[in-house]
Amino acid sequence: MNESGKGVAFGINEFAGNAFRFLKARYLVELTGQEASNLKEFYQVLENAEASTLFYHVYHPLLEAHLVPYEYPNDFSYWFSDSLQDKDLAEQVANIDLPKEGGLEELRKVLLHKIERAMSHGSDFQVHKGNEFHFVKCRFAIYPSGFVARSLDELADGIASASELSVFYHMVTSRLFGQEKYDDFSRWILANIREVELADRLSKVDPTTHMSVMALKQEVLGVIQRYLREKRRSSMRV
Amino acid sequence: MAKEFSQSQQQQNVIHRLSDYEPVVGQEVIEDLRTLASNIDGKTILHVNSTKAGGGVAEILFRLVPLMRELGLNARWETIRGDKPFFEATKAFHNSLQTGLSLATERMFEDYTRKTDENLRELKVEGDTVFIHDPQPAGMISQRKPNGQDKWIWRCHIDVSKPDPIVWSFLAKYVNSYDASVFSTPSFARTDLRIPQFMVPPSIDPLSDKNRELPRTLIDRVLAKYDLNDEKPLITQISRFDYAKDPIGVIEAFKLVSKHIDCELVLAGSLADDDPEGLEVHSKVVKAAEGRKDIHILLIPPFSDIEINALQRASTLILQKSVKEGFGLTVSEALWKSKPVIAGATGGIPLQVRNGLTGFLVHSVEGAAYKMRYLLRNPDIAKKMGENGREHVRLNFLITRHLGDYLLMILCLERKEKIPVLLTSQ
Repeated sequence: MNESGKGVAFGINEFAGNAFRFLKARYLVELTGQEASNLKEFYQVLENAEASTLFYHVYHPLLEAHLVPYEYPNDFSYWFSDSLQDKDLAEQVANIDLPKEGGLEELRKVLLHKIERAMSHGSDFQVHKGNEFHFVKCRFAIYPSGFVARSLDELADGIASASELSVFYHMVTSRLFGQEKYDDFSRWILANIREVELADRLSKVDPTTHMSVMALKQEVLGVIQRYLREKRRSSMRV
Repeated sequence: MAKEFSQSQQQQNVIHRLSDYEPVVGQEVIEDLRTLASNIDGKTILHVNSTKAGGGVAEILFRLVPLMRELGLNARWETIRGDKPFFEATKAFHNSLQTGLSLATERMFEDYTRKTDENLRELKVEGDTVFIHDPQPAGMISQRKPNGQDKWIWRCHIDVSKPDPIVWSFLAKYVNSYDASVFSTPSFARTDLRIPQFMVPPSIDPLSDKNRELPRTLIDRVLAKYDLNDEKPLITQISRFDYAKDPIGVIEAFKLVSKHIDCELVLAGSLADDDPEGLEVHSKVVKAAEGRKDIHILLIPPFSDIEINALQRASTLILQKSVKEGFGLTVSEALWKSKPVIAGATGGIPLQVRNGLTGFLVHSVEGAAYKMRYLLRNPDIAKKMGENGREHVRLNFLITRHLGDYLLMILCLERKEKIPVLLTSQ
């Protein structure tokens, strides 16, 4: 296994044959001792930061939705705005969604590109002492949440009952660290239920457009329930 | 009233069970703790510090160790022995590490080494995981078995980011022999350690006397005892009388606010026996408040947890205008009571006060005054910040999160996988 986790069977296959076993993760913050007080330093640290650093600062804030300002939903964009006073860069980084391919490495490229552009415009602001950005990374443990689904109905029931930690794991963590194009639910539906249209609809759900994991969970559930209703109606017509 | 406080005071010694926390943190949190612990499987966890009574570390271990036991771990808590020269040395080390000043003498290093050697001969420090808390017992790492499977963790509760280099280099020789270190906030960490540095903030106990819900009648009696007017907005800072907490700055800021808004200020704290500066600060504070009936300087005896709790709950806003701070858990205590906090951006405070979300971070007297006026004039915003603050503490600064972090750290160090650690359910 490499450091980013690629090669570990994230999600479904490791744990249960054709059934979808709901998992969740708990995260532990590890300090890197690295900090930045201007954009150049930030860029230099980000270039070589571990994948979990990007994950933690960009996506983990979704789990603390009540504290995330809607304009700047990740640690980076908040610091760019609040400390570095670069609203333009802050807005650009706030608008980052889940990479379609390439996971966290793709995210790194996108971020570095945006920062390079900001630096080329002469962004050389030095933050006040005490306002430095402290980079952290994280380790995490994965464990079963107790629900197992063997059909689409059971999957919907499982999502309805699953905790935010579980939905976040399957929609965000597993996909990013596994460098998957799709979330776990979509991948399982494709591989086991073979409902291509549903998998396609689900894969369009973007976690970063939600202000809370609860709202994300409701959207995921809504997509599956609507699809099931449509399917039932069409089978009744037949 | 005295009787009621006294009865309640006894609750400090109540050991709570995990199920007691379920109504506060939810069933899932408790189940997750059981899952994490079941993967550690009855191993011995030993905590070592320098005192069983007094101080934040002892207060946390007093509650944490029984919870670990309830989870099926063989958790124990030992203290090292110390004599006067040893504790004088460790006090000087502590201050040198936090301030960067060279306060330790050659003799102090000798006293530390001598007493550590005695402790190494007299105490058996053994466990599958050993947590050594703070610099005082750091030298116990020398007792580690060569090639043993046991894991040793140095848990640092203080800010060592800008230490006196002589004391730090003495301590770092021990620290680098551990498997990992733990700091409370990113800004306390070091760049020169060769071992992993985890971040585990300290925590408050929502069921303790300092934080549990109180009946309104009891709060009213505390207000009456101190002659406080509950019909006006009450602004409170709870802290030792210490220049680092900037009590004079608090009074200056309040004076600016009171020109516009009729409100009251409470500065409540105790005087520590080992802090001669406290008396000096207190007398300056009293002088600064001279002639003001709306400023109340309260000297409250140590361990007056219920009174502190009542004052916080009766307050409209809480201040923690520190210019130098450790973690500043009084901020979490206030946020837990759904009070917005206006605080200095130092130490662990920025982790607790998210600027504009759970309160405001300020850098000056004028900044503190303006933010007080703003929140007093906008009670809906103050209420929302208070709600955010309570949820922020519920998720991040309660003892159950603290316990879970320790369990996860034990697992991370024990397992060979780096990311992620795969666990089984209970």
